[in-house]
Amino acid sequence: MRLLLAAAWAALQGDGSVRVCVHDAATGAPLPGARITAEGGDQARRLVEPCASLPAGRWTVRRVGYRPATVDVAAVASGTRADAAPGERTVVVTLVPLAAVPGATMAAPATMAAIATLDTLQVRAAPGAMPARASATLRTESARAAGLGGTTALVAALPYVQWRTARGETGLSVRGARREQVAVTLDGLVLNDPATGIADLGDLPLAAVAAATVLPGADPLGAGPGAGGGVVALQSATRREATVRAGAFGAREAQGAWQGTVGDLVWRGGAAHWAGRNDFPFVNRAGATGADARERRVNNDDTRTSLFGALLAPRGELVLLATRGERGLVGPANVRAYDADRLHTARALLRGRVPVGPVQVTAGGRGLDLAYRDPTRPVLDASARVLAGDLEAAGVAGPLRLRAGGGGDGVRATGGIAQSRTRGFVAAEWSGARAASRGSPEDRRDGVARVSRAAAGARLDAVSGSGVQPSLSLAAESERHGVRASGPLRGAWRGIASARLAQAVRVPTLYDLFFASPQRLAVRPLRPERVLLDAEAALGASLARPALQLDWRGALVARETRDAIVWFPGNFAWSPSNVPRERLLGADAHLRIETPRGDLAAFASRYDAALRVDGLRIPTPYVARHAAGAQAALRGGPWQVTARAQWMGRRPFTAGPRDPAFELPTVGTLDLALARTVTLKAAALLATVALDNATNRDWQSVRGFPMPGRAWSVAITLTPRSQP
Amino acid sequence: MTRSPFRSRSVAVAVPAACLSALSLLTACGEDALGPADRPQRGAVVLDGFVQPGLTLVPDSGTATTRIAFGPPTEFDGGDLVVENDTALAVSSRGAGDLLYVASLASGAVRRVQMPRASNPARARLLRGSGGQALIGVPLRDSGAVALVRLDAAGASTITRVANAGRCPTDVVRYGDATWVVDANASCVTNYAVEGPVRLIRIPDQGTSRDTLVLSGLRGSAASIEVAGDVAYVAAGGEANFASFPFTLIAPGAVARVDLRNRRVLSQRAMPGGSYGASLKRGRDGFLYVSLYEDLATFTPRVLQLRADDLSLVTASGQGPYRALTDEQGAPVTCGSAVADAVGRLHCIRNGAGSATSLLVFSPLGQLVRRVPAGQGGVDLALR
Repeated sequence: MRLLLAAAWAALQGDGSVRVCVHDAATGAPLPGARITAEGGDQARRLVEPCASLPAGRWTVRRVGYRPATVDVAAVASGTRADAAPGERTVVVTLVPLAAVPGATMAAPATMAAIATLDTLQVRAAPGAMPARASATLRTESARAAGLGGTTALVAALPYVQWRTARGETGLSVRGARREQVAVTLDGLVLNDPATGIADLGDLPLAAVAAATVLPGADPLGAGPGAGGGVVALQSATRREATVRAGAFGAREAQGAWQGTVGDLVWRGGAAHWAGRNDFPFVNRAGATGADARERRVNNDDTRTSLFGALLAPRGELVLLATRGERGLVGPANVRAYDADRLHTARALLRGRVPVGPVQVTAGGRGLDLAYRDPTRPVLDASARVLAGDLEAAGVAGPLRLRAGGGGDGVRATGGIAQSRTRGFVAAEWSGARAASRGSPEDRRDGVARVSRAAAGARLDAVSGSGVQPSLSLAAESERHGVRASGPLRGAWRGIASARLAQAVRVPTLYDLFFASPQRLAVRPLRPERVLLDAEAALGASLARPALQLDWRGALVARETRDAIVWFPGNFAWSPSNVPRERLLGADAHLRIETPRGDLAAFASRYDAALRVDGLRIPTPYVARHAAGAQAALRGGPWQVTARAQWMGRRPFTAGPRDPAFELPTVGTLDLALARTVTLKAAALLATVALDNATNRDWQSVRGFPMPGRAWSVAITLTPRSQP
Repeated sequence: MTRSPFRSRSVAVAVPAACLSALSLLTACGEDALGPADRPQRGAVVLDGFVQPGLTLVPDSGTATTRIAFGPPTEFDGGDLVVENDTALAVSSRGAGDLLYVASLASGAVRRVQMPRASNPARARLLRGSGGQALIGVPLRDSGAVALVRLDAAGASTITRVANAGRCPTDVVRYGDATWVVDANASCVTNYAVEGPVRLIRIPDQGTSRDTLVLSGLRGSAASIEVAGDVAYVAAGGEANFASFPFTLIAPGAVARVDLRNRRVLSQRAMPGGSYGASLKRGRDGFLYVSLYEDLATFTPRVLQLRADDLSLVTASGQGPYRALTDEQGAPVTCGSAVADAVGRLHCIRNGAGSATSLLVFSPLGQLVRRVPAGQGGVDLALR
């Protein structure tokens, strides 16, 4: 589908060339490698970098994996970007992913007058992939300037996300969901391990990631099974950079990426190495002596090496990611039995995408090797290998976006574990928008416009052993927008009321236990977990004027899950089991204010999530009933100061009835960062000094696993000013 | 540090009075939010072994229960509960911090005592020193030793180790002028592989000699002992391979009846073919109750009732070896950690969905007469 802007922008005068930048509609990340063709002519250009200057004319923008868009450069006359050449205008063309996660489409300016006030012009290639969906995106550049040092930290800084970490592994909860209900995707490819159900973000270096987007709520269409609580969508990076970083407790990191062209081929490659001792001190307040003791973590080190690359050809795209890591499996603070245990991991991901006629075909494969080593008891050494493959076709048929695919998973592990399964799906999605043909006289007088959008989709998943599982998704939103010329709320404004209903399914993972463990349990047959209803009603508002962008969104949410698959630890006879009902009720809101001198983002949530089983009401483990966070950045010249505060209320650490004795206390942490940008002749240099947990708060994200106290880090990122 | 009387190996037979001493020490540690009046004086005590470790106290009637929390699940993984009057004992293994838990059922106070690191405690027993002081015996599987713990009123603990107590000591009792240790004879320090038959090791109070009685029909890394007069009942859970799927049974559990005075085995009984485990309790009705799993595929909990004098099975005609238990409608019911009260009512626990635990009480004829929620993650049961 195309969006033609010429008629709308005809009133705006233009001359000469226009700088066109192509971005991903879901994340806002720049997209290199787009192919631009003059409509009605034979001119064609491949944009090696995301932006290029184009002469006047109508251009069709195509890129593998995205729906094409058309832009009329001749009609564009205003919206000069600061980094554009003098007299040059900038148009940002956002392309909607064909097969990736829907939602998070960057909004088009509300009115023509608003277009003139924005520093960039955003063109949406579709009326909206999925309206009524909350989202928040954090770009890697912003994260680096805020002192964040890894993909885990990038994602953890997003609103709607609660996180916890132990033994080098991080679990994410989105909008009160269990960590297994959160799907993590990289360019649309689900990264969740088919064996454990969760994804390890620690293996992804920031240099390989352009942005992270959180999409709270069930998403049966984009991410498929496993996305009952939400999606964290990662976007591959597209820029050259080199970063070195050092920090407290032996943290050392170097990573870099480069890209270039060979004929019509765009290539990109990079590498990263990270190591840390993580031997931080902590106060043990739960020792058997009853007295506080100052101790230091041991066997908590972590080393990871990554290689990543991409090839983008006119007729296809290939992405490769390979990582290798080793870490100590330190146990809880008062358990020393694991002081020598080690885990070795190796992961590989390969994804290719080619257009076949009007259909985009994507194939992906993943492999994971785990080796558990117990030097004190070598007889307990264990290893496991997991393989997963997927094939998917996506296309457009009339008003529908259609997808179909299939794949298989398998695990082999020490002790004769050998499990496998196949799966397939079909999905159809429709979305549309309608502008009110006539408004009220007052609206016409005030220049107020109304737009209604709706989307619907259905997906059928068939997984061997779990049957056929249908899921539906419905969404609608009503928007009013206009421009107020005076008063404190002057500027382009927008108000949105929306509602969304979705279902989702999560099939049992192949082996719901950390299978590198020497412990072997009998796994019960499990029914698929089903989100019967994930509902959301939201209000949003935004205000834009030259020196201010304000966005607010608040939502009431509810989720009802049947047969929730929950791990209840125990001995031989117990394993994950189906809990008849899990219900979440809650509300969340986030606010973002951007000005030339600084930004403020704030988030607050209240989630009441509980499992109900056999007369027990069990609060969902590690979901804080109350949570809030805020990040403020102040800019002055080349300097930026960032303060990030996070607060979590009490949260249960067991799958048992509410009992204060089994809850982690409330905690608030403060992270600070100072960044300076230095413009060199050929590159931009970003230097950051960060202080995590600046108030040295003693806390735990997982019971028994202390978090570091105050920790410093310094980082330097070099980004070439001119890309090939 | 106070010198322990166990250094001189002068230990007397445990008597109930020792429990009172232990209780007086426990109450010095303070009380939790519930007052003593809230806690039942009689009834069942369920050990919640996982999820939210602790004790659930169930009175003889009604459904109101009270809880005594032990601590986080990372620091408790015990499966055996010992209750003497108002004192409850349990331990956590090396994988959960090598801890001894001592709880006062009257006050709700809990004391945690750090056992030697990586010693891998198996269970705890109340013993008594020759001076009348309360002592707690803790077999240390990975140390091949027994820890004798003395708690003082100031909250301090004194630990004395009795070394050379076998390859993998799993239980300890006092009889005569000696400490008797059940040695599972397994590689508990690594993977609990059985190395040979269970042994009963006598450690005299004087000298360094050891008398070993090999119980040739008993194998398993989980072995326990109950003493009644001069007779000891030793149970071993059997041997299985849990390192690969499907699990395979090597030998079922067994129970031996031992004459402690003459140090000889009187009789033995193997558990039914295909079964695994043998958790032995002496009922107040004079019978022995063995809880086990019917097989390694379904892990269905089952109960055997044995006569104490000859280990013969008490069975109903045509019902097979296991104790026939039925609900109000006559449908079969299974449960574990069974023990009977003085009138022969069988008490046992069963974990349902979400590991919610129920205490089940059956009439002497095996019909369910009471079902009451009893916490979550129940792994053992004792009667007060």
